[in-house]
Amino acid sequence: MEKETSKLRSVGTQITQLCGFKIGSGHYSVPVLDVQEVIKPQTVTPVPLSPNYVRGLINLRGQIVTSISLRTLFGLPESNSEDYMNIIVRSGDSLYALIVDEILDVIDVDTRTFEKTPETLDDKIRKYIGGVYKQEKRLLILLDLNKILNIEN
Amino acid sequence: MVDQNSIVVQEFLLESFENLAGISEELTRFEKRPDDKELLNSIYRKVHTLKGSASFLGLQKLQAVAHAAENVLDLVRESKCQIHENLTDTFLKSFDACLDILKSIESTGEEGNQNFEYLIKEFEKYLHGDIEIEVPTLLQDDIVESLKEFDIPQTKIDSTPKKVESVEVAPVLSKTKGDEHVHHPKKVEAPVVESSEEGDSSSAKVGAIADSVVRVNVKLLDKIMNVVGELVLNRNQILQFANNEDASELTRLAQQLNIITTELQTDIMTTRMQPVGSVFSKFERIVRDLSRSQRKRIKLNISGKETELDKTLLEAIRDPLTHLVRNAIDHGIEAPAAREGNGKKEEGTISIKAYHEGGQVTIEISDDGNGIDPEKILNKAVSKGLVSAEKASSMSKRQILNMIFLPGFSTAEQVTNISGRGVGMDVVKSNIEKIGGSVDIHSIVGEGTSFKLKIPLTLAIVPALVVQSKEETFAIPQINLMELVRLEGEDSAEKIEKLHDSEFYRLRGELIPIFRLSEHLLLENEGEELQDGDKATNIAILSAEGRVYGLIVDTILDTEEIVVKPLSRKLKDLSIYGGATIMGDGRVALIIDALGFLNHVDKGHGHKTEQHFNEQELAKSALETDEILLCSLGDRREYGVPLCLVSRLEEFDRDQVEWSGDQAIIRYRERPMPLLNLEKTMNLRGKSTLESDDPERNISCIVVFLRNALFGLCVEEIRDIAINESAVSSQNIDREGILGTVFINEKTVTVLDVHKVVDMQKIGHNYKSAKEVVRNKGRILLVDDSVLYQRIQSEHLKDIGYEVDVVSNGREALDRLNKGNGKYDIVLTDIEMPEIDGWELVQKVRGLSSEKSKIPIIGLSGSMKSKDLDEGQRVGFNFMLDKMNQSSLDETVASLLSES
Repeated sequence: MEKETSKLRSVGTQITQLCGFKIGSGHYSVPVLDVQEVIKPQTVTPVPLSPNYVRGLINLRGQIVTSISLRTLFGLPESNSEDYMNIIVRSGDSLYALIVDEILDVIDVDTRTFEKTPETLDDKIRKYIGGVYKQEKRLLILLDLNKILNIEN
Repeated sequence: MVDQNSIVVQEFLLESFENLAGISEELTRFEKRPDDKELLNSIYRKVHTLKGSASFLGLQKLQAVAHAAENVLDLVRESKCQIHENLTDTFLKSFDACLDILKSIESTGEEGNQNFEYLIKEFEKYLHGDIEIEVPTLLQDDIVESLKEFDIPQTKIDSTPKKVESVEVAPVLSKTKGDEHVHHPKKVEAPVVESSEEGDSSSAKVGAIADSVVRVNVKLLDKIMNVVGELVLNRNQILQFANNEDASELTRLAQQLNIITTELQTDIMTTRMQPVGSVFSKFERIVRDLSRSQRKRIKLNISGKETELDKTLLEAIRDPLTHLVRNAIDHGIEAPAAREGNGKKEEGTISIKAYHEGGQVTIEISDDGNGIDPEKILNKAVSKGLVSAEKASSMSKRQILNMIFLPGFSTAEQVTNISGRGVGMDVVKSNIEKIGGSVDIHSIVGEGTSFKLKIPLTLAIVPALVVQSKEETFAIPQINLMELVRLEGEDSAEKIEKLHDSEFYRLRGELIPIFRLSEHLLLENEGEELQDGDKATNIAILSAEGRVYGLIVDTILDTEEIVVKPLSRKLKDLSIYGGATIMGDGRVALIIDALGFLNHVDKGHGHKTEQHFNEQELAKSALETDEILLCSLGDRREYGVPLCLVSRLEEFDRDQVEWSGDQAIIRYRERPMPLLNLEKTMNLRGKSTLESDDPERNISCIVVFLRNALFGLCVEEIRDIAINESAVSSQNIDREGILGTVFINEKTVTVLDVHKVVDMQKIGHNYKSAKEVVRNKGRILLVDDSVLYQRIQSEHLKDIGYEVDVVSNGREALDRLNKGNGKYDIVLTDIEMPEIDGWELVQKVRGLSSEKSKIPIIGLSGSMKSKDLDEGQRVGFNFMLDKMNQSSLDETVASLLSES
């Protein structure tokens, strides 16, 4: 994440930094400050009887990380690609790895382009979303980590 | 108002809490040993320090209370005032007040608005000497007692005579006054000098200790512990790597790292260790206060104070222990009068013992009180609906006692403010189990109750068994592991018994349920079936909450010290896992929680599993191998009772037996149960134990369940349980009540026909006729070569109203069917039989030309395999049933008959 530092200088009052990533054709993001690190695929120990979106546990330098497939969570078809990425985020005492297809850059966005979640989004995804940023070419969806990590079903 | 976050205040709070924590205990001790000047000085010093710091920080309320207490303590020190119970109470109250103020400061920075004026007033009374000391009669007696015992009278009594205006013990004192005056001055002088010296030297000591001691925040220790945990994992990985490499230098370094890490791990764990005494000490106060308020006299014995436990564990056991101690005072120890009535010492004893045992710390809390009456527990449990009446009748004493740990259970007849509100024991148990410990209860009515708590030394690092199932690795904490069983080759399939849909294994005669880990975790089989070449089955025998079960795993790897890491919040609901750990190869492995797994299995199977734990249900499976309970009667010969009829084995006191005419009766499970005199009924030689002349001899009883009632067969001695493989020979039957003889362990054993024996009693008929209310109609042909099964099954079917004819093989069955004209409504047949077996029989019947070919036929087998089920369908059985599953057999028969 070398890019992080280089971009820091441009942080103004109305600029916020997001860590962008792709799942399928969608562009998503989480706040950079919530991300501990991004790592390559690791050996995963499956957890039998756990919810289907839990891929399993991985060992991150002695810490146990619960890996969560955002694809499954969003009701998208599972991809068999070995070339995915883990975004490590912390919630309380627990660490989670969000499995995404591809990591994009750290993106500076203007907070003024922020909008509420459009009604048209798929319900399965909508409930995990905090809002969207309108960008030149597309919408960048901001995920709400609290909603994702407190899934009650 | 002070800033509770400033370092000075923090230090002050820390120090004051510590001081006050010890002070109550010291005071109660001092009350018992008023001569211990050093103890008094220590108390005085602490109060003095508290007062000093309070005034320095401008905490007026605190200072006032401490000051008043200090003044009175001063009087005691100068022997101008003696310590007695009321004064102790006032002191204790004032210390509590100080604690309240400190807590208030800690949270708000204010002293709080409680008013402690009354305490100060109480103290002042002592100062001005205008108090009448009420000396309780108990104490008077004590004083007289001690005065008699000691030549030199106690100065403590004499020291305040001027202040005491009316003391009833005065006459006694006056007798010895002469002596006292001689000793008095010396006594007063000496301690004071001593005390200041003592004080100095010990404070110097304290100073020395303070220099070499650093206060460390527990959070920091926790963090270090975590890091060490990671280091341990790292070491494991390096060791594994080094073992695979061929570099001697690396191996050497790895070994070194191993040793250092182990040492570091031990040391770090030691820093977290604290003596259990710090928890025990507060019990002195609890016992004193509660026993006083309940007017009981209780002595507290504490041993093993120095035994050490991890700090977090110590915190976790504090409340459960307190609850147990309170319970012992409240329910355990009887009132003094009641104790005397029972021939016990008026003063009750509560003992708390802590010691190391097998890598764990054991804490025992026992009282010599009234004990717990299992009958009462049972009644209560049944009335509260915690257990069904049927199940209750088959519970062992241990199981019954353990019911006090069920949520919503309270035994106290009267709810007091101390305990008996039905919350508590379940919390005690769950709290102890949360930290990987266990609670066991042992109680004898009239003699006392004892709780045994087993606590692991530390939480973070536990030894565990590492197993594999379907290529996934799991860890099972050693604490739950009882033993490992390996069934090899041909044995493995046979030794696992099937009952309903569940599997059981007979471990030293006891049937325990077994589960396949892979099945219950829905593990999918990847790759080749491992079991193919190697037919061995590995069973890990686990125990959780006193329930024992077996877990079948594919491979057992090793035992390893694992670092328990909690699962993330998202996975916490999966109680089947106790956490996760990182193995030597860096992979994550899940830790199986023995209790969680059992609960999971229970949930999945609902009532079925419940049924499996029913003893009677289990006993029925004995049919399969014809298990026989061996016993002897008055004629000293060997007799046998089919084990499947046996409900329990009991020993009764001769005093408990009541007589109704010639019939012996005993109250059993709240009902009168007839005791059968077999010798008399069957006209055997020798005398029944019922008629024994020795009043001390207990009556051994085999309790059988038949004709819908319980009967006690009185026997000379219960010997053993044997498996009968020989056929029952009925050649040598010389009287009624005998089923035949079998040959077991090279001896001839006479098998009793229990149904007949019961029917031979007049009382038996009553039960039988009462039973006939439930009437099924139908005529059944039972085909089975086992005499035992014939007898038991036919009696059962008759009991529920059917007409039953019995034959021993397929040929006889065909004869019967051919002779009569459709006389039978249903045929029950064993599959394995001599001459014409079940398979052949059904094919022959189906081949008949007449209507008879359509008769419903049920095939019975003790060990039904799935291929048998398919085969049975094919050849024409209506149903294939498990011999042991009586209820499903009954249902099937009834439904088939209602169809026709």
